[in-house]
Amino acid sequence: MVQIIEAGQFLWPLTPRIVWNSREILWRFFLRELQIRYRQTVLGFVWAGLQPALAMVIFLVVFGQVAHFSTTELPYSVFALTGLVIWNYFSNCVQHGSTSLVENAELVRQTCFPRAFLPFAVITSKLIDLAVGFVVLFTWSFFIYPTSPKLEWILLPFLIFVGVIFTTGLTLFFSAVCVRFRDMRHVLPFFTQVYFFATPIVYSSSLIHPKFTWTTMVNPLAIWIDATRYIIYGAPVLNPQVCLAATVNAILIFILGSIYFRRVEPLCADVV
Amino acid sequence: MLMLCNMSLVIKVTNLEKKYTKYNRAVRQETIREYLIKKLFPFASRNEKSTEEEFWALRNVSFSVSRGEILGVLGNNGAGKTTLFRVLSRVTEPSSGRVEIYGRLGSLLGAASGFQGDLNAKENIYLNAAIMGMTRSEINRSIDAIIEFAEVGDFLDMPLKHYSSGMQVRLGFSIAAKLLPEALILDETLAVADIGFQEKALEKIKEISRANCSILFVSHNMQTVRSLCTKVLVLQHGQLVFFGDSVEGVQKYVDFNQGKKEVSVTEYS
Repeated sequence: MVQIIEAGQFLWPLTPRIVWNSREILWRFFLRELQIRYRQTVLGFVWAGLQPALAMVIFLVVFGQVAHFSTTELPYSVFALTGLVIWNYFSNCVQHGSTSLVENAELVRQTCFPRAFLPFAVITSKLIDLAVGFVVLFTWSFFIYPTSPKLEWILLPFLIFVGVIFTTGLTLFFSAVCVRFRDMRHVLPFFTQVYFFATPIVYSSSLIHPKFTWTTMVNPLAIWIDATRYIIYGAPVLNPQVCLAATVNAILIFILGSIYFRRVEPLCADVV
Repeated sequence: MLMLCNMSLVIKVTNLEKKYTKYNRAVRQETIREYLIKKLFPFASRNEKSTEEEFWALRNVSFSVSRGEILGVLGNNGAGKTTLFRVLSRVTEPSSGRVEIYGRLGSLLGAASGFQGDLNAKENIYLNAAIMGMTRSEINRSIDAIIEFAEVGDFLDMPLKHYSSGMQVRLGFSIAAKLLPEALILDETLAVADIGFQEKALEKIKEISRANCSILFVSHNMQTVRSLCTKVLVLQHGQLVFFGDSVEGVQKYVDFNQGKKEVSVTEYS
């Protein structure tokens, strides 16, 4: 077996065979994320469910009680919690995944592995948090707004899959930008804040002025959240074209993010 | 005849070059403003490019390593030793040239070499050995031997951030030695370990070289290089100035330094 190193050739090609051969690395990175995240904390994994739950309480008080947002027939707490569980996953991935290369500079400078494994490990390990979040959501809605399992629920994994594709694309893009421009670390918090309010998470998409409904059309996260609400609680009603557009958008962003990441990848060890 | 030569070859480096531009090295980070100016006003930045100094960390380096050879890499700080090792370990891309590696290559590029401070020794062994290319069953089989060789058995549950740098090096070396690759790269890492472990490690290096593993290592201890290495490679400003017999190479390196500076290198060692 001969390995050849030459200029201009990918140092870490991601062919299925290579990914399979280095699956142990990805698995260890994944484990490390879980091992480190809640180590030296008292509540441990409870935080994964507590984060969206606490956020839900805040928005319940502010928007549900003070501002009186109407959210179709769905109780506001259930409505907001659905959005916040998914938002929590998305924003955690983008924030931690994007800085993963810069934060692991030592590893990047001294060892050889496909660089994309670092953001991948964040994105996959946060899925555990997402699952905990869904458990909290189902428990809460069991008391507030009981629904019985329906056949449509089998679509939930597909929704999560598309959502993860979208999240991965965005995270790969931002993590590459972070390597190139350290400014990005300061931009990220603002980006997530703007994104939070631009997405119908704590308010209903029906409240959006008709002039701005296109924003949800081009935002796969908005459709992910609305589709999840629709599948579990039957509201609000979505048309299939919108879902298709969101899927296409998600795949597009994944492809663009990966291409940019591949372009910046060879620079990692020299610049980080 | 030719076939036989190729069979015993482990690493073949041909005309290897690595160029850094100055911003890559000194300023390291281009800001968004600089980037936009460069993209939006290509005419304005053309002048800037000429002042942008190029720095050759490696220039036209060619050599080859055969099975079981111990190659000492000598050179002053900044001569390109670490850059060479980084290119060989696939951490950074060469600017031109070609490297052929026949078999598995393990490398230890720094004292902590990618250890995670928050993880304990066992978790770090699994992570690090996986990165070096061991499969899980291989790691499971050799983890006890690694712990024993590194002599960290009493501190297994302690996060690595509380380890001394010497202990981290012992752990890193033990993993790399257990990997039994076709080629092993050691970048000055052993200097941090205590004398006892250094001796043990040198014995281990001899042992694995007898098992047909080639070793490339950097050391500033001329005594060690002379007694251990079968061949020596001397780098100077990114260029290969000597490649051959170790006694001769060490002499050449020492002479070069004595001619250039008052302090002799042998005094350090």
